[in-house]
Amino acid sequence: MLLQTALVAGLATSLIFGQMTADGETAATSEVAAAALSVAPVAVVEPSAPAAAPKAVAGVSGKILFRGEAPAVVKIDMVSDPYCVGAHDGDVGTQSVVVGADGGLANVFVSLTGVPDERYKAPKTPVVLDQLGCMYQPHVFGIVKKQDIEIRNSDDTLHNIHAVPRSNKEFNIGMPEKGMKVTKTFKKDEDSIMIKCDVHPWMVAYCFSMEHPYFGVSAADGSVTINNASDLEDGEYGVRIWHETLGESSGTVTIEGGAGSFEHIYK
Amino acid sequence: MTARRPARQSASRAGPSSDAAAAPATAVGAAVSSGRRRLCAALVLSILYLVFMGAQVKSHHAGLSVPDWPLAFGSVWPIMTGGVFHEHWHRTIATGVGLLTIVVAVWTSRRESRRWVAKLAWWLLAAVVFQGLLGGLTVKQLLPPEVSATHAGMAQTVLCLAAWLAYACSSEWARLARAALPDAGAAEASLAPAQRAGATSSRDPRADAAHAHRGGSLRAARVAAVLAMFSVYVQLALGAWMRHTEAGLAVPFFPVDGAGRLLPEVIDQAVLVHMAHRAFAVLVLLAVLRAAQVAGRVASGLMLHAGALAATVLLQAGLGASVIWLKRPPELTSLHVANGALVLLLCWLLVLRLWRRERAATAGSAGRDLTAGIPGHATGERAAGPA
Repeated sequence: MLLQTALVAGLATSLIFGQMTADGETAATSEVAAAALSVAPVAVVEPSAPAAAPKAVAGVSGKILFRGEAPAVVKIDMVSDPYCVGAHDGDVGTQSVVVGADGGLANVFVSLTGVPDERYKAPKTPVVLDQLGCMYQPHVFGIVKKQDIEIRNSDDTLHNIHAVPRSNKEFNIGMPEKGMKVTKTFKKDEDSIMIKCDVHPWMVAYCFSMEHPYFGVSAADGSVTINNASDLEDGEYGVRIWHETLGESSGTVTIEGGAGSFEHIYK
Repeated sequence: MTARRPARQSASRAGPSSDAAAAPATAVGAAVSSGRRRLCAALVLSILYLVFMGAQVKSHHAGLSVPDWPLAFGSVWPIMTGGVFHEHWHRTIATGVGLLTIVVAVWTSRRESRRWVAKLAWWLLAAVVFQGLLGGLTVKQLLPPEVSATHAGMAQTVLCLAAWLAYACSSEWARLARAALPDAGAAEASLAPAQRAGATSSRDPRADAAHAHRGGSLRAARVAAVLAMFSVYVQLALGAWMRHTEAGLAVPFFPVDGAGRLLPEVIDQAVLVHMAHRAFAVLVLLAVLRAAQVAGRVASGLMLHAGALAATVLLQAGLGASVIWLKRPPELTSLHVANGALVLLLCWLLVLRLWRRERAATAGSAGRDLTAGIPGHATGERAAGPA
């Protein structure tokens, strides 16, 4: 009888508290704009002629290019959640290999090596990771370790944020309501931490938790700016380049007067 | 309540291996009602469906799509979308199974005069609760493979316990007890009217017993069935280990690759786990087919059961190969898991049915009474010994 009573009590408790918020870390906000989505149509991008080497402008910047036959863009099947389908005008492709019109490769994480071995402070401004149209914005991003990540849900559907690090602490949080925000961080430096939504299996993002602030992510046209690199002393530095499916690579960049440029081509 | 269960006092120590315990020759309370029998059967089917839905959660990688437990996104009923549908539907069915088990346990403990059956019902409930807690732990601990695999394996135990309870409440169980009595007429007279109709079943257990003496050994058949069941259980555990360590496609071809090789070039732990599941499948196939063959030979009343078991295990082999060929489509993979549970269920029921026939045969020759404690029977009647 004791067992029965306990079970009945447990069920009653579930029913009574069923509408309560489960996660104390989450807080609903009502002012996250439902930005209109502009998603590029699914298409295989034809490689174009090699782009001219980027000019050295103020700061350290570069260009990541893809040469050869780009992998076909795989259409995401969002049919399991009608909201996600309705959030886009047309088909949506995976974000793994995104090649621009001039062969620029997006979502490549670039960081410098050989920088001064100091203890870098994490910026106080959080990095925003948004869930918008059942996609992560941005798909690849970096933080200085211990820097806050503000995770938002701009979708009118539920998501779970599930980080699967190797050395940092794993977390899995529900974000059932539009406008919710939650702040998380990674305390140790670690490369390519996968962040995923198990509700929508196509939603994947990668976070780099860095020791230093000298990194950047390539934009849709393949251009990348290394944050804070203009502060570095003149000299040659290593460049580490990572792409989720095309792999890792490396190169060098010479910085003079706070400026430098580099180019990398994936084939 | 006590007055309704006079046989409990006498049969309270009578477990499945000691139905012949001394009992006063008094009529016992109400028979195992058709309602309770049907509810037990419904419970078994519900658990089987639950196993399928659990497999669907894994097949769709939706195990952590609901990050909290026991609530779901802070509510009882979240938006059933994407992976949430699989995970929360699994939880919902599990809740239903839990409630059904509570009803069965309470009903059985109030109405059942065989104490071991009442205890079995409570053990079943304990197993269901433990299984539910394991499910919660998989969510709370973020799906550790060892907990998830235990959760998958425990599901088979729950299924077997429920099947045991359902069989103990079945009309066949009672019929086989009566078969050991010296006079079928006396046995009939000891029945409650509702059960008397059931005793005229076209399948005569005594014919099975006689058939067994002619055609072979019930004991040998039972041993074969136990071996088959054990091999299936091990195979299910291997399968759970393989699935929860993501080794399901570690060897992506079957039976050999394009170059005729049995194994991939790189042999790692995932390949070893995967190949262990494949290699053991051969043993399981042989063991189950052998058990089905022997059982069908020694007990004509089990021909249908044996045939179903053989067909199910052959289907299982086909499903396993198809899962590889079609690159693990979720629904097919889940069907493979659920059908594996069905093979185990049929093996376990075969063991129980053979064991009851064996008991009926040996009790008949030893003059022991197997009706003690079965609702609706005048207990204490003893089968005449050979002398």
